[in-house]
Amino acid sequence: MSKHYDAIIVGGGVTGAIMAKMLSEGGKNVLILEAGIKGAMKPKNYRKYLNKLYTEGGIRGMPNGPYPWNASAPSPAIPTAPNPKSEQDPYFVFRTEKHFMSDYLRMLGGTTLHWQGTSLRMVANDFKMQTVYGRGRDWPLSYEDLEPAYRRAEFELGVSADVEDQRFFGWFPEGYVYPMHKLPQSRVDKFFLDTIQDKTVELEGNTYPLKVISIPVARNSTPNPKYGIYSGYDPIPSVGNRDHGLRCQGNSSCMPLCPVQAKYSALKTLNGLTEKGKVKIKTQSVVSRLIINNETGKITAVEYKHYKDPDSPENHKLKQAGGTIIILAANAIENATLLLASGAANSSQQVGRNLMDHPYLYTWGYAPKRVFPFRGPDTTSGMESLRDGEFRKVHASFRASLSNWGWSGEPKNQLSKLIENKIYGKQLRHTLGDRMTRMVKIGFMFEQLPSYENRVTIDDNYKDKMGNYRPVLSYGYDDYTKGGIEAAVTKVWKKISEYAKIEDETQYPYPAPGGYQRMNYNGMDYNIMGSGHIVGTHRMGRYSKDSVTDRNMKAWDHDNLYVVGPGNQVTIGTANPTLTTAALAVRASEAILKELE
Amino acid sequence: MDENHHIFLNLSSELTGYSVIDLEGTGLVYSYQKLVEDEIGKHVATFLYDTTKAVFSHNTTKARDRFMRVDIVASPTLWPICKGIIMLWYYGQWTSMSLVWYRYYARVPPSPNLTPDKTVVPSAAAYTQQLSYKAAGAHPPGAHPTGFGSWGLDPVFGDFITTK
Repeated sequence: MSKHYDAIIVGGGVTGAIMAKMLSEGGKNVLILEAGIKGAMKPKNYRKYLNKLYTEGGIRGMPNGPYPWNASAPSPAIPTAPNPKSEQDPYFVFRTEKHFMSDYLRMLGGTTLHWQGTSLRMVANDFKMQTVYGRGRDWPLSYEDLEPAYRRAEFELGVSADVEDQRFFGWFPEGYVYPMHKLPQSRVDKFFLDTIQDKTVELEGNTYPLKVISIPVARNSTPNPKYGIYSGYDPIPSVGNRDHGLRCQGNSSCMPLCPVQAKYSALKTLNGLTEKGKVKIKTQSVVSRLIINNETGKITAVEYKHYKDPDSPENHKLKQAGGTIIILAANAIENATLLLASGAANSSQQVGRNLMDHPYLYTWGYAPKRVFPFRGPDTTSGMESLRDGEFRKVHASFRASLSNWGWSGEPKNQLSKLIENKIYGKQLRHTLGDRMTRMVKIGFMFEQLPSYENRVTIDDNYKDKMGNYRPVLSYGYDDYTKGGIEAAVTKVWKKISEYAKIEDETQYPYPAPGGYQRMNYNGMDYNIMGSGHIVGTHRMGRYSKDSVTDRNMKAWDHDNLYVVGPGNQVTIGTANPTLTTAALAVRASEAILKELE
Repeated sequence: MDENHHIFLNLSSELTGYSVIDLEGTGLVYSYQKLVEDEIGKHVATFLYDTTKAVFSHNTTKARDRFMRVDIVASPTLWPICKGIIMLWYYGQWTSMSLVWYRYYARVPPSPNLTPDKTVVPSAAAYTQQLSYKAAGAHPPGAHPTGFGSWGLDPVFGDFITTK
């Protein structure tokens, strides 16, 4: 065994990056073991992936599409819209008819390489669902407990927002502002602000506003001089090119790849660390097992497989690394798989259970006038007023993300239809232009309750080419979520399209197109996709009997093991989970620093 | 510039509704001409150019439009090629001609390397220069960004310049 570290972090994504930063700033020696390749950290590679986006015509295999397939550390692909290599060589194994529809990326920087950047805080009632609505479970933390960590997370990610808009649900300290001003709202947003802002909808006997507000995003905007004690915030440029990415320039490709890196990715945090040489990062190192001392229950070392060539998983060296504290900082599914493979942290039998995502549903139509979509970041505003309310006793809450990208991917369908009708020339140009400039689309994102049956397991029959366990998934939606989906389409979208005079073009074709799956509820069919918001597989709790970690994310069963990430979330609420993940990483780092004192 | 190139450019302009200046500005005319010629063969290419030249020889717009409809749009040999040319310019992708087209409408043997109905993106520039987004006053995702905050205003180029 080589050098002993104060902390070993498994996973070089957003959790690992923030924890490495905070621990090293506290004077600790840190080793990050990343299963994937260094990849996008090298600017030359990053340009290569951008070129692949072009030469593959945009969005094939979204969102993992432009990033290289790695046989040694495979990433999942959305089951019906995978990229060709993962089609031949799938990673997830499904036990249920319904598939888990989200992916993640195993590469240094993790899934923040292709996330949307939306950085909403969870609402206070998300933390106490059982107490307030008799649904789901309570967290061992309150919103107020996590609030300081949220502020630090907003600094680490570099969030742009208008705090006044965010006060709608959340409490913020007096005088707090976000690091940067909100991104300018789009023409599409202004259309909805003009048409539905003061309108209402009735859900389960109560009236709610259809309130459109700007959303916080981890995307560089104009720094707010009021931020912080000194003089504002310095936007972090692109990794490897300090002239790029200081402002979002509207490339309209946040997913799968921001060409200038104006959007945060964990690479930005990691780059800062490697520049200063405080943290050791070993890529192409797949952790396959935690080695447990049976007497003390401590993790004595992690065992990992180091490979040279991603295409030759068989050729790897088995190595070990030892540390005082071991931190699992991978994706919720990978963390759970590794714990199960190691027989670790599972006295509660909760490891891998309570897998949640945000089922995602689109509604779309033509606005009565031009709103000029297909420009700017994916989304700059949302209809956020239904993220909380009494109706949560009955059905799921949801938020509605207003798309700035029209019916994305749509030019091809429109073109084909027009050309089939033998329309060409100026008529084609103007008809296409007229249709595309009036396209509006809303993405509804639904809460899902924790359930024992939605889970990750492992099975000796299913291993990847390196011999590591592949995640075996069981997944579905319950009536609580389905009720929310029904309310969103039949009540909320109906009202919105009425008030905004939208020609409703929404239809859910059968069979569901690639990336979607069919759902039936109360005689209506819907096509649902995943959001990539993978949470819940190693939840925190008050008691060791029904949770995997305590409120500081230390495993109940092992004195020196922290399991950190979106897997700690007890409920999913309606916030895109990365900001909460970052806040949890901040909280865990503080706890570890205290412990190591 | 040889005559066929001139004809290909003008046909592209007629099919897309964009001026020859717009199309030349993409830098893609030569590569697209070659792609199409390679795909349909010399024999059919000559037929396409001769027919197009005859259509364009009419003096009035009305007559040109009429003969365009009769001789090209209604032709089962030429219209599938034109559809491909429109998709190439507007969407940056080319779908190979079908075997049915080769056998019955072109009456030429398909090239030995052909995969029928296969769609390719001929180059990165084909993606970044596609016209479909331009027609909407926008830009292809990931290329030609419109600048910080521009999405909050009406487009300042393309077909939608307003004086309001």
